Amino acid sequence: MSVRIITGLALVCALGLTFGPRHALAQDPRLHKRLDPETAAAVAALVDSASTLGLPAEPLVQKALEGQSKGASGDAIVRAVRELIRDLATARDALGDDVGVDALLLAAAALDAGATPAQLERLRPHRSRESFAGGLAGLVYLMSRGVPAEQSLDLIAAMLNARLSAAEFASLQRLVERDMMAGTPPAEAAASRAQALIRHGRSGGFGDRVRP
Amino acid sequence: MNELDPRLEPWLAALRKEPAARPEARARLAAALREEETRAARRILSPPAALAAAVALIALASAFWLALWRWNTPERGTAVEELTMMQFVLHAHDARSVSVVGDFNDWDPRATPLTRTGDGVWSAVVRLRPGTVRYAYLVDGTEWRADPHAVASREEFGRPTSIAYIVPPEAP
Repeated sequence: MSVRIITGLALVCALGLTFGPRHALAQDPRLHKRLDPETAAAVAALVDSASTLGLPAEPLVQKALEGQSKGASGDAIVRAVRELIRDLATARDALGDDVGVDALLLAAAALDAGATPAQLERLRPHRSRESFAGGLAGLVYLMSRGVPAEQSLDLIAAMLNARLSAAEFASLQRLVERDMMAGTPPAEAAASRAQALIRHGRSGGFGDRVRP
Repeated sequence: MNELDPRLEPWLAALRKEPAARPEARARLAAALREEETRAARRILSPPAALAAAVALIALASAFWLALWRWNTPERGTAVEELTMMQFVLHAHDARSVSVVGDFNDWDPRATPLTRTGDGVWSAVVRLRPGTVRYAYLVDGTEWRADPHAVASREEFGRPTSIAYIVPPEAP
C-alpha cells in the first residue's frame, strides 16, 4: 500500500472523527429504542443544536426518557426538551460558561422555582468554588420551602463567601427541615441556621459535625 | 581566417535567423511546464508530512470527543469508589410494588424495584455518582409520587419529580 493511499485513509478517518461523533452523540441509541421515530429524530436534532451551543446532552436525553416513561406524547416531550435547553442556556448565561452540569441543572431548577437570571448572576463570582453546586442545591431547597428568593440568595451567597463545604450546605437543609417540623417559620429557620453555620465555619468547624 | 566569400552571404543570413518552432512542439512544452508547476504545488505537503498531520488530527479529535462524551455522561466516567450509596425510602402502605425511576437508571420503571422492609415501608439502596439526581417513585406501575423528603422539581409531563443533590465525599 503506497504512502499516498495510507495518507488518504488517515485523512478520511480524521475527518470522520472530527465530524462524525457529534452526530453520533446526538443519535443516542436510547432515544431510538424508547421513542417513536419522529420524536426521536426531533429530540436528536435538538440535542445536536444544544451540543453546538456547548450545552450538555445527557440531561436532554434524560428529559426525553422521563417523558416516555411518564407516558407523555411526542409533542410534549419535544416541548419539554426545548424548554430545558432554554433554561440551561439562561442558567449558563447567568453563571458563566465554565460551570459544570450539576450546577447548570440546579440553576435551572432555581429558575423554575422563581429565581430570576439577574438574581442568579449574583452567585457568579463564586462559581469556581468546589461547593458551588452544593450552594445552588441549598438555594433550590430554601426556595422550595417558601423562603423568598432574595433572602435565599443572600444566605447562600454569605455561606459561599464563608467558604462552607457542600456537606455544610446539606447540613443546612437537614437543620432547617428539623426546625420547620418543630414549628419555626422557614425564613426564620434558614436565617438562624445559615448564620450559625457561617460562625462555625469561621471558627474551624465543618461538615456534618456542625450542630449549632 | 579570410573574409567570407560574398556568394555565401545569403546562406549565412538564413543560418543566423532563429528557426520557427512548430505549434505542436510549443503546446507540448507548455503542458510539460504546467505539469511541473502542479507537482511542485503538491509537494508543499509531502506524503510523510500529510500522514503526520492526519495522525495528529485523529489524536486531537479523539481526545476532544472523549472529553465531550465524559462531560455529557459523567456517571459513565465515574470510578466505582467515587460512587455514593443512597437509600430511597417510601411509605406506601397499600402498595403492591414500588420502584424508583430517575436519571440514574434512564427512567426505566423496571430497573430499580424497592423491597418491602416493614409495615408499608419500601426501600432500596443504590450506588450513585455524586451530583444532581432527578427521580420519582412509581407505585403499582401507574401512580407517580414525589419523594416527600426531597425538593419537588417542576411537575413535568403532569407527574411529580423530585430533585436531590448527592454531596461528593470530602477529600481526605
